[in-house]
Amino acid sequence: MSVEPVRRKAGKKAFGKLKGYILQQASAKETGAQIQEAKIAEMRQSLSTFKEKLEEFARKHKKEINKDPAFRAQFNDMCLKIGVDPLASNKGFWADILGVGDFYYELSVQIVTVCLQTRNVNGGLIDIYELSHKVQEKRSKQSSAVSLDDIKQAISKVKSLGNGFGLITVGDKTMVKSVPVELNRDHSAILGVCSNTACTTVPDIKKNLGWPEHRIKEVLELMLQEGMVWTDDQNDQGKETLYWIPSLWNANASQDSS
Amino acid sequence: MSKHSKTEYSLPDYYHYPPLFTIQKVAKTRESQLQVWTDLIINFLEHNHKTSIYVEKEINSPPFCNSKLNRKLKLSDMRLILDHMQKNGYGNWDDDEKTVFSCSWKKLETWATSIYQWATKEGQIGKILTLYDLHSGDAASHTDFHGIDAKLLLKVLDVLEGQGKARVYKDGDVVDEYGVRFFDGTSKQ
Repeated sequence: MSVEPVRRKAGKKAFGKLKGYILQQASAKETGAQIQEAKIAEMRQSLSTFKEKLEEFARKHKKEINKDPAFRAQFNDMCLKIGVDPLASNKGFWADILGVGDFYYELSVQIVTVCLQTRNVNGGLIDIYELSHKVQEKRSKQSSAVSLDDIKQAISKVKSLGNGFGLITVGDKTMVKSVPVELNRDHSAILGVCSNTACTTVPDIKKNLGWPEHRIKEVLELMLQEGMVWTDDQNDQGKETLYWIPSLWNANASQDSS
Repeated sequence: MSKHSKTEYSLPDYYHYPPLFTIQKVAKTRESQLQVWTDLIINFLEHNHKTSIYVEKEINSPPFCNSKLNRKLKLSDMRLILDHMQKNGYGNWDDDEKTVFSCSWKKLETWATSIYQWATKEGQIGKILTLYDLHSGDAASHTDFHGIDAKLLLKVLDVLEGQGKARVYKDGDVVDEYGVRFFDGTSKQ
């Protein structure tokens, strides 16, 4: 026996193994693609089924969706997940069966009204809780309850009109801005200093933010001109002028604290 | 609504807003402030059925002073606010020194309209009535001007006289006995 055939045999065997492996891989890849395609098709199918179900669901639970804020929030969430925006317009299928477009349209009008009515006193900045409370007062008893989530949704719709509406965060508070004033970092920083007390003094800001006095006075002056800040010369804790932020002020807190 | 006892009257929320007692320098904010003050005072007048404010006496009591907050208006600022009310038709000063302000929770013109409407509806046009008949008489007992102060009533009738809708006869020493005759709106005397 020569060595040759043995080696050839071994080589053949190895080649066969390799070929088998390659074939296996290719087929796996193919199958993978097939599986993926099938999956996508299936997902498409289930998505459209889901959409159908959602429509069916919406039709069936129209009343609850319009009445119950928590329910509505969940429903909106579901819609967003499959790329349906029931609030985008008050035309079309969703609005037709739900009237949700109308709901937010009506709410937006109420929000804008409250913001305009209080702007004289607060300079166009209002705590979202106070806004919600005032909107609630405006709505008739028959209309559905409104949640903070609804208010935020409605504001996001009004915001697109580009008239200065927007949400800003001050400390742990969410404020609604209704004036086309660009609130920069300095404004926000000062609002932040007063977020709990609703008032501050120049030394107070200096201590908290470490700014030079001219920078403090400049920002305060701008906020005074915008009506977002009121002055108080009757500080009973010192000689410094108090600067009050009406939008952060709360009647109950001020009565209780004194 | 009030957490306090039923008899205690609680002023609107803004009475507790400390900077309200400092007149604002920014014009736009000051306008708003004067409006808030007007609302506050009207509310106060209506609750207490008050028709005059004695400036020097009342500056140290609500709503012009908030002892809980340690805030009060300056005399000059209180006069500025009442001037604003006068400008808006809620009353006027009795004297040049601005010590007494006659006013009410409704504009004089609003009172005038409501009295004249009553006179027309009740067929009082052309007849002579006394001021007493108007503020305390049986015929007007169901009206919103029933019980108003004679001095205020006289100011309201002055408005009607100015419009040619009434003539006031100030005979005698007792204001209640002054006479008034209403005219048809179309025929001026």
